[in-house]
Amino acid sequence: MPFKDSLKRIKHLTEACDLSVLVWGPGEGSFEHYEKRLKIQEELRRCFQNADILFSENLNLSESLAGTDQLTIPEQELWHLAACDVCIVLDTSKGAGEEIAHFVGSHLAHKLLILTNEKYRTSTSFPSALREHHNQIFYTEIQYKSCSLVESVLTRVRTVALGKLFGMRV
Amino acid sequence: MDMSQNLPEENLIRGYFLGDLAEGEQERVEERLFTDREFFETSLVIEGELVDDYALGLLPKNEREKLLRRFLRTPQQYQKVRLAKILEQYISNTQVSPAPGEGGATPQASLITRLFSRLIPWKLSEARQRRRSDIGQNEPDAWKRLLGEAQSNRNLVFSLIADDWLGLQLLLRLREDSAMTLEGLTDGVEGSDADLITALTRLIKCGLVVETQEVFSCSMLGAEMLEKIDKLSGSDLHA
Repeated sequence: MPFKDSLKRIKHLTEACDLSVLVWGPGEGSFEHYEKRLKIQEELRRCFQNADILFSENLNLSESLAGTDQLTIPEQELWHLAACDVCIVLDTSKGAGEEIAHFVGSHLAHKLLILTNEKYRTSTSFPSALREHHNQIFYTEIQYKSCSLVESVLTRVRTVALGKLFGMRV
Repeated sequence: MDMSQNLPEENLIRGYFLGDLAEGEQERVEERLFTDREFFETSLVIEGELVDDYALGLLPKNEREKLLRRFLRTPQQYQKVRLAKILEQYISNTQVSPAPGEGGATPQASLITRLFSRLIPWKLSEARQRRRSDIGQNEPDAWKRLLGEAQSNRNLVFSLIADDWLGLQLLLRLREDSAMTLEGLTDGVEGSDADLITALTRLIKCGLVVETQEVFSCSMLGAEMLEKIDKLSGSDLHA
C-alpha cells in the first residue's frame, strides 16, 4: 500500500476509534459556557464518528447498573469516569471544580483534561501534579472565544485515540 | 493470607456485613475488627467481594436487599472507598481494549454497555486474589506515577501525529536509511524548516530518534512504534 494511503488509513482508524468521551462543565443556565461545552461536544462528534461524546447529566447509570440509584452523585460520576477514555472538564463554574475535586487524586486522574481560565493559574484548587502532567491546561480569553481551545481538545482526544489503538495508557 | 483455610471466619464476616448474625455475635465481630488485624484484613476482602457481587448483580435478591439495608445505606459506609478500589482494579486490568474479533462492545454501544463489556469478562476471582495480595501494599502516590506514565505516552503519540503526522513521516525515512543528516532527512518532506525541526526535536525528546554528531537514526523504541503502526495499518509503511 502506498505510504500516503497507509497514512490515510491510520488517520481514519484514529478518527474511527471506539472512544468514550465525557464533557463535564457548566449546565444550561450558564449560557456562554454551556454553549462552549456544546461546541466541544459537537466538534468531537464531527471528528470521531464512532465515539460516545456525553455529558454526565445525560447518563443514567441505574438503567444498566442495578442499585446505582442508591449512590451519591460523586459516586455515580466515579463510574462515569471509570468507563470513559478521556474526560474534558470545562472548569468555568464552581460545580465543575467540585465534581472533579473527588477524582483529582485518584488512579483515574490521568483521564482528565481540565480547561481552566488563565486568570486562575495561581489557584491551588487542584494538585500541581495535574498541571505538571498537562491534565490541567490554561486558556486565555482570546483562546476561549476563538476555536483554538476546541482545537486543543481535539488534539488531546486524537492523541488518546491513537494511544488507545496502540494499547497505551494515555 | 490463605483464606481458603479460613472459611468459617469468612462466613462469619459475610454474615456480619449482611446483618445475619445475632446481636451478641455481631458485637463480638465488631470487637474483633478493632483488635485482630488479620481478622480486619479478611473483613476488607469479604466486604470488597460483597460490593463487587452487588455491583455486578451477582448477589441473590435477598442478599442484595440485606446489603442495601445493612451496608450500602449506612452514613459511614465504606462504599466510596470500596467502589473506587473496585473501579481502579478493574480499570488496571482492562486498560487495553479488546482487539477486533476478540469480543467487547461495538463502536455503537453506549457508554454503559462499554463499561459492562469491560466489567463482565473480568475474572472476579483474579481480582479478588489481587486484592488479597495488595492489602497493606498501597502506594499512596501511585496516581502521580500514572499521570506521568500517561503523559509520556501522550507525548510519544503526539510526536508522531503533530503537524499532520510530520513526526511519523520523519521516522519512516529513518527506517529506510538508518543514519541521515538533517538535510537528507528533511529533503522532500513537506513542511516548513521550523516545523521539521520541531517535529524532529519532539521525536528525539521522546526517545524515538537518536542524534549522534548531527546524524540521526531510529532508536529501538522508534522501531517498536513503527512495528505497532504497521500492524495497525495492516501493511509495512514506507516513506
